[in-house]
Amino acid sequence: MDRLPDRVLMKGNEAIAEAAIRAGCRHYFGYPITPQTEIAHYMAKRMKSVGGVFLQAESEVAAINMVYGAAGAGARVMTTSSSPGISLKQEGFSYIAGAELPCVVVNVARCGPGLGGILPAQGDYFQATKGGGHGDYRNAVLAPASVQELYQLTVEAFDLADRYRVLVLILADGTLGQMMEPVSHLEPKDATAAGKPWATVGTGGKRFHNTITSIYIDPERLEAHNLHLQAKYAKIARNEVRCESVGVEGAEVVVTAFGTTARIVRNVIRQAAEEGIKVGLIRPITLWPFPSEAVAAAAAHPSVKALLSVELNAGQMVEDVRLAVNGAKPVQFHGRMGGMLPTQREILERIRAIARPEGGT
Amino acid sequence: MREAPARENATAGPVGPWSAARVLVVLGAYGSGKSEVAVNLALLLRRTRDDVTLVDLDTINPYFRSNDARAALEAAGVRVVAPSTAGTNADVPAVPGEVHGAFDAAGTFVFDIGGEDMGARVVSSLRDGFARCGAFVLMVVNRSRPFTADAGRIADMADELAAASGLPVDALVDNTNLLGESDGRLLLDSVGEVRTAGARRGIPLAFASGVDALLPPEWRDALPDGTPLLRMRRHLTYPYENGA
Repeated sequence: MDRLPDRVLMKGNEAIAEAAIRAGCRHYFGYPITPQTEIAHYMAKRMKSVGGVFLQAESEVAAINMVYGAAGAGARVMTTSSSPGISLKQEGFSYIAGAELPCVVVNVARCGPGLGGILPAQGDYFQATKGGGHGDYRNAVLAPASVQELYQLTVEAFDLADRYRVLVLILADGTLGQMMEPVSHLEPKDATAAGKPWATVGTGGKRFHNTITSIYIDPERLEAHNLHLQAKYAKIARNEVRCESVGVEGAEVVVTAFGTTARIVRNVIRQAAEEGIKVGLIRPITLWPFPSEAVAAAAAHPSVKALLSVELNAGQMVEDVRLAVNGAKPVQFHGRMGGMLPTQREILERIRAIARPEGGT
Repeated sequence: MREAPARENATAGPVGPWSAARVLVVLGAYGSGKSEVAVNLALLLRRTRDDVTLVDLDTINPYFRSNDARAALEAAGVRVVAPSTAGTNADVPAVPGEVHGAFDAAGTFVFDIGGEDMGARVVSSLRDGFARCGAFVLMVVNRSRPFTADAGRIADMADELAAASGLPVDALVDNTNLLGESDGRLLLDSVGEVRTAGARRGIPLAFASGVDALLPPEWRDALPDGTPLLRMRRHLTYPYENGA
């Protein structure tokens, strides 16, 4: 498996697993759930050959706490699940944030609420970006839109996690996890993790022991810890925002969409252009930190009549779009749920209604 | 409603020992393209035979399966048998009872066996039936996939699938592709390695297959090196590709 053709066809879930291994992840803990189980299959096959650990935990809660332990010992570690399983991990997310442990979690999201269904959805946006666990904390959230990007962002997620000592969440969906696409740049990465002097790896009798904890009984110390965390999150928000902006200059309508939805919107942009309607796309690659400046700048273009947020939910990211636009332009929403995907036609109709409100040209 | 005739109809399609079989079993690793090959084989056989059934036997993965091509198959007169859960997105492994009919019936059956070695293991419960009706087993190979990238790994995969299913592989199909990035060169460059893999296990290459629109039209029924060629239409697409 170490030597591969320059370009290979990979399933999204396989790309996540291979990328993690090539990023130096040698510890994987998970519990199976459709539509991400191929990640566990792949890890079960591959970890042995690279001297790593694959462990099918007894539950999602156990898996995230194994991640806590391995991350505390300085290992590059990952767990993956799908929406209901990610819900179970939320207490662990909060503890990991409190203890400042770097790790990568992938949510190959399905539709809810509850047991819901196995088809793709983006209904976990709030949970991913606004918390989900208790307390004041943030996870960096990456939103890939192709198998190649699943691969690249998984590699980068480990670097990001180590750099800031945070949990990096990759929010994909069932379509992205299950689809196959060509992937390149599979050459092994330098797996050397950044130095982690805080990790609990044994003192060798040479220093005072490190402590991994999120408990601070003294309120002054706990507030100081919280302020330290907030300063770190502010730094991430300053330095790590990523988005793709396409054709925003001169656009009449700017669509905001991430992941699978952005792929559908790309096709709609071509169709709209054939009708003489110029449509721009802002695709957040980091959902947190949200690319508010790019969205605000797009809204400020005089040609832009309105923004349209297209999502696989009842309207979640659109709240961040509205905050960014801050009333400068109308912000509309189009969403589908339950595993239904918006058709190109229905998105195009929404765009037409904004660009040609009288139905004329 | 019949589909508009495609360019592939200009050719008769490949022939070989497999094309005389009444029951064809198509298996392969994830992403080999076995479902697309199975669907296209069923459509090809339907041109010369009256009673053709495609059996979707993917008991593992509820996403992207040959049952998704049901409308195109039925329009062309191919019967589709699939677990009652197929198309419902219920994550429930099930083998449709009708499959047992295939072993003693008169018509032609194409079995699409998904789910890699685990899916093949489910099928092993049917191996006596397959043996009784002289089923011909085709293993579809895509060299662009990581676990079947070279002769050694292809041969290992053949062993793995044969052991899990209890069905020895009779012939290989080289379906090497990178989806839309494929061209004739990619396929032509891969057949040698697939033949080498087969030779290590005494398994011949039945034919190569690729999407008609991505292959040079002048190749018709064979690659320039003489390898028989199945020109396919894509029937299984991703949801965001649909123009509707």
